[in-house]
Amino acid sequence: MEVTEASVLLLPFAAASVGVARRRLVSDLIAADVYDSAVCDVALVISELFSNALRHAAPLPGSKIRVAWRIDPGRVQVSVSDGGGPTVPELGEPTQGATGGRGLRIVEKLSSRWGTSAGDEGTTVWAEVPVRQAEMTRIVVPAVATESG
Amino acid sequence: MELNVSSRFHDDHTIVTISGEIDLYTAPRLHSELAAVLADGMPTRVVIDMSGVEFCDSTGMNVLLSCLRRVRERGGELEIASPKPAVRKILQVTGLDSVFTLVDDANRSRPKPAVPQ
Repeated sequence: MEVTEASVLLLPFAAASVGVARRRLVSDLIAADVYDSAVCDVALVISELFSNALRHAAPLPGSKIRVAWRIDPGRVQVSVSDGGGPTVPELGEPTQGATGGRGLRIVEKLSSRWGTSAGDEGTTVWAEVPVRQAEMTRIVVPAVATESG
Repeated sequence: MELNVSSRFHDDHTIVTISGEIDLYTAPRLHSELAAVLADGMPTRVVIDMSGVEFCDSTGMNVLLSCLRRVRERGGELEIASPKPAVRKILQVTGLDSVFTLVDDANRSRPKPAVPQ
């Protein structure tokens, strides 16, 4: 599979944009033959990063938020850029039944690496998620499927 | 696709059926719909049928957790029925699969005891 160009979306800094970004990314992943389970992982990661930005940061100029992704063989990199906030993104330590504090924990679990960068414009949080695509999986992992239903 | 929530009574429990996607945008509506269900008749056993939920992130899980807490506060129980793989994944990644009771079928009157494998 060829390396794709990065996709960049500049969206309104609003909760409704989370689903817009996620659905666009999911349709790109499906078009790239990424396996369903990996599509779920990437969808979750972008949703968590995007929601964190909306909760904790300021918008980019013009009340915008920028999301970008790049689908490479074996991995997908997603990033969300905002106008920065009073705190840097950090892992929460939620107790078992606590509400809140789980977003970046989920990102950490599902990604091979993640990080933040701050520039004049604001803050970018990115994550790289390992994915398997249909054509690769046939070679690398034969017969892992289990019968169900 | 956004979010639909409906509820009905079945035998000894209330079934809340959710379909669509649960995220930062739709979670507030889920929260108010669940609050209305809990206020209406104070059900002690609530089964959330998630078979139609295509996506749920940590914001959605937080709504379900606060609902779970309210039900348990009055000695009730809350179960999640028939989650799709995407929902199972977040339950597993967050460890919340051990906090919620997961069942296969929302219509069953009593949850099947867990069988270790």
